[in-house]
Amino acid sequence: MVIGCIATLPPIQIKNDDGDVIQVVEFWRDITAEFSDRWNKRVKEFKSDIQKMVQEDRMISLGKLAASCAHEINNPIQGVLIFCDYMLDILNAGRLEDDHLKKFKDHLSLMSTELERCRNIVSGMLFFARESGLEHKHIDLNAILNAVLSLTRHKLKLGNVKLTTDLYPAPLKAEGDINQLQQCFLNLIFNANESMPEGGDLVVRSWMDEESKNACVEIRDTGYGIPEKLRDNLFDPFFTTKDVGQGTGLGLSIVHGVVKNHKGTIKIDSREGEGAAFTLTFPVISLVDRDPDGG
Amino acid sequence: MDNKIRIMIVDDELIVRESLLNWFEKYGHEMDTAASGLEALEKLEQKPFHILFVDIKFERASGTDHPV
Repeated sequence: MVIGCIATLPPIQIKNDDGDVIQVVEFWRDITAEFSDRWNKRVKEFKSDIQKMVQEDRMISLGKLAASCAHEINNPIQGVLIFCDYMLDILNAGRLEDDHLKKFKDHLSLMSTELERCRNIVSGMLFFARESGLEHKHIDLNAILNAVLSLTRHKLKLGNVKLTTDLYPAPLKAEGDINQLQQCFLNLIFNANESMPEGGDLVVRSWMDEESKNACVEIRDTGYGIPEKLRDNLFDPFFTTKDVGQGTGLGLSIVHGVVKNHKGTIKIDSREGEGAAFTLTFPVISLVDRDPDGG
Repeated sequence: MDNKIRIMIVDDELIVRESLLNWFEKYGHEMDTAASGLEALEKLEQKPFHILFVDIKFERASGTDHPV
């Protein structure tokens, strides 16, 4: 059975002596064999395009995160520096008493905790910034959400956005690419943040829908909301309602591409002026598909 | 009469509060701290301070929202 063929030359008309067309000769080539190759190539190109867009978008996100992360690191560093000066002054004066020793112990413990916080922020940024190819593997959606939230927490705080999280108590295992999913959640959180310039509430939830066997992630804000008339174009590349220079219009199209790439779905619940909620679903890995080590 | 300068550090970061508190105490100033603008206002109702060091950004409020 031929399922695909393509005309290779323009049709040739055969006419009689009166000039009427009596026959048409067409040349067709059976491309059934090539068809699946072409399809696979197109799928590969689509995945590669998404990966390139995600990588570009990561760099933009890094810029957005840099200021808030620098601020978050700077505060504890200032504290540590003041403690160092303070303790050195006392040591140099040579008037160390028992009371000082106890205090120094407490100070060092606090300094250590704060430096660890700085290290975690820097590690998070480095992990986020690293360039890597598409890598589909078993991942935990909650772990990715936590990584994104630790990167954005301070930015949200600076924007007077109160963050509430309610994540499923067990890992939500799916198959996917960590970088793409990080970027997907990050874009939704950035959008939520930007829709609440005066501050507001951001709720990030995840749960397991036992009926459909899907992992669900919801990102809900109390921002501007999405007008009905914009919903059809929401995921179009370069579609943006932001002022010139404020947005690339790629954020939601990347979200759409990544979710599609992970065989997921997106649902939007929004009322203009009351906020928006994006609910993403991803098929989870069934127990029999999981790695023997549970990875 | 107590001539000590009373200073309050208002910041939601523990290390900022603690480090500045110890630093200023070393110079003999009377110190107090508050983790939020609201807490600072409550303490200000109890007694006056000569100097306040207030963080600009707090969760849900700004250091400039509550002029004291």
